[in-house]
Amino acid sequence: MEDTRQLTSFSQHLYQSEIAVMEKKKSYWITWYIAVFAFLVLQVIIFYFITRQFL
Amino acid sequence: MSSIDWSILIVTLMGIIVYGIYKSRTSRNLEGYFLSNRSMPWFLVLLSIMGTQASAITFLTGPGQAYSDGMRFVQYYFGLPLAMIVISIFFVPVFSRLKVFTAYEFLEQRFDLKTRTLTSALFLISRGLSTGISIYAPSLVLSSLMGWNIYYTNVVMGGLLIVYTVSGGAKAVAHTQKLQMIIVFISLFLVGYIAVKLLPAGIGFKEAISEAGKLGKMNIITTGQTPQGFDWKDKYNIWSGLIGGFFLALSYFGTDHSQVGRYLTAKNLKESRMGLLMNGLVKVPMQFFILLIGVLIFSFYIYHKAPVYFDEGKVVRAEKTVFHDLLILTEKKYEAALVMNDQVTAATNRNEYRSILKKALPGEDVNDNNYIFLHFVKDNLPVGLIGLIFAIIFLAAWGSIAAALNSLAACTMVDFHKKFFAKEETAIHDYKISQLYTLAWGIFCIIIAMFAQNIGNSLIEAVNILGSIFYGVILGIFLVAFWLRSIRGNAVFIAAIVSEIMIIVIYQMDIISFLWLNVIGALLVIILSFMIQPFLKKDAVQKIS
Repeated sequence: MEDTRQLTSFSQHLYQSEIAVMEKKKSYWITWYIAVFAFLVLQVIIFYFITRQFL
Repeated sequence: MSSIDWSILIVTLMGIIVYGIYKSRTSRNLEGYFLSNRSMPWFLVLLSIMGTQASAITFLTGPGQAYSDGMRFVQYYFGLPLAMIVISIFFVPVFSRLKVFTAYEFLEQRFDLKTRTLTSALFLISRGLSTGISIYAPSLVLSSLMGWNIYYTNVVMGGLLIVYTVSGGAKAVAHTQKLQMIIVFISLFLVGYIAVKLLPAGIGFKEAISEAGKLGKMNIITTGQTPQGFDWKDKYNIWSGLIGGFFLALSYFGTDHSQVGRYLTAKNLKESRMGLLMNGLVKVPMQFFILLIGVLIFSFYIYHKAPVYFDEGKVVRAEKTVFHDLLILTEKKYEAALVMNDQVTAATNRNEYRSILKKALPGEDVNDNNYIFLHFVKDNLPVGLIGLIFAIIFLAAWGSIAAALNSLAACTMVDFHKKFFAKEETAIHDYKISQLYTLAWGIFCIIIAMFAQNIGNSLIEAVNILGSIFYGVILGIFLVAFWLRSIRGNAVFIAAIVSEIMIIVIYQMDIISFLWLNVIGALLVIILSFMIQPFLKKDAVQKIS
C-alpha cells in the first residue's frame, strides 16, 4: 500500500516536472515570436519616419 | 574584363565546386542524400534558407529597382517575418514529428494519395519551369552586358553546380550555400563602401541619401492610396507587402519543398525553428541594405553622367533600325538635361528613350533595371573587385538552383518513383536513382533556359507570376490540412483543381496585381472545400490530425 502511494506520488512529481519543462519551452518560443514581431514593427516605424522626412 | 578579373571569377567558381565536392561525403541512402541525415545546426539552416531564396535575380533586380523606383520594394518582404512565426508554430512541429522526406508526404497522411500527388505535381511544374527561367535571367543580363554567348552562359550558370549537387545532395548544397552567402555579403558591403567613396569631395553617405531622398528614392513606406481609392494593381505598398507578402512567404517557406527541404535537414525541431525565426529577423534589413546600394548608385550618377539606357546590347541593336536618328536625338536631349542638372527632365527623356526602344525592338522587355548594378560595377569598380562581383552573380544563382534541383529530385523520387514504380529497393539503389533524378532535372532546367528567350516579357516578373499562380492553391491545401479537421481528401482535391482553374482565369483577366493571387488562391481552396464537403460521402477516416 505504502509502495503504491509512493509510486503515485513519484509519477505525479514526474508529470508535474514534465509540464514545467514544457511550459518553460513554450515561454521560450513565445519570447522569440514576440521578438521577431516587435522587430518588424520597429523597422516599419523607423522606415515610416525616414519616408516622412523626405516627403 | 581584365585578366585579373577573369582569374578571380574562375578561381572563385572553381573553389566553390571543389568545396562542394569535398563536402559531398554523406550516407548513401535517401535520408543522407536529401536530408543530410537531419544533422544541420540552425545557422547552416539559416544560411541555406537565405541562399535558396536569394537568387542572382535578387542581386540584379534589387539595386536596379531602388535606382528606378526607390526603396519601396522593401515592403514586399514585410509579410515574411510574420510567416516565419506561423510556420514555426504550426508547420514545423508537424513536419518534424512525422519525419517526412517531402512536404507533400504529410498530405497523404492527412488526406489521401491523390491530394499528395496533385500537390507534388503542381510543385514540380512550377519549380521546374521557374528554375529554368532563374538560369536564363542572369545569363541574359551577363551576355548582353559583356557580349558573352547566351548558350554557354546558360551552361555555366545552370550546369557547373550540377557536379556537386549530384554528388553530395543536400549536404553539399547547404555547405556551399554557407560559403556563397559569406562571399556575397562581403562583396556587396564593398560595393556600397566604394559607391560612397566614389562620390565627389564633400559628399558623404548622409548627403548622398539626402539627395536621392529629395528625388523620391527614399519612399520606403507607401500606402497604395490614389485620389480614386486603393490601387489594387500597385505592386509594392505596405498592404500588399504585409498581406500579399505574408501569404506568398507562408506558401513559399511552408509548402515549397525547395525551402521545406532546407529546414528538414536540421538536427531537431529547435534548430529548424531557430533557422526560420532568424531568417525572419535578418531578411528585411538584408533587403533594405541591397536596395540602399541602388540608392547609392543613383546618388553616384547624380554627380557622374549616367547612360540614358543601361543595356548596351539592346542599344546597339536598336540603333541598327530605322529608329537610329530618333534614339540619338533623345539621347542628346537627355545629356543636355544632365548638363543643366535638371534631373526631372532627364528622367522624362530616359522614359522617352525606352518608349522608342520598345518600338525599335518589338516584343522585347525594355526595362533595364537589371542592368544598372552590373553596369555600375563594370565601369567604376577597381580591377579584381569586378571579377568578384560577377562571381557572386553566379554564386547566388548556384545557391538557389542547387536547392531547387535537390528538392525537385526529392519529390520525384519520394512522391512518385518510390510510391508508384519501385517501392522496395536497396538504399544504395535509391541513392543512385536519386542522383540520376538530380542530373535529369539539371538538364531539364538548362533546356528550359535555352528556350526561355521566347517568353519575351520581363523574366523576373515571369518567375514571380509563375510562383503566384501555383503557390496560393498549394498553400490553401496545407491550411485546410492544418486547421480544418472536418474537411477530407475528396473535397480538398476538387476544391484545389477548381481553384487553380479560377486563378489562371483571374490572371488572364489582368484585373489585380499578381501578389494578390496568393491570397485569392489560398482563400478559394478553403472556401470551396467547405462548400463541397457536405455534398460528398465521408472519406476514409483521416489518419492524423
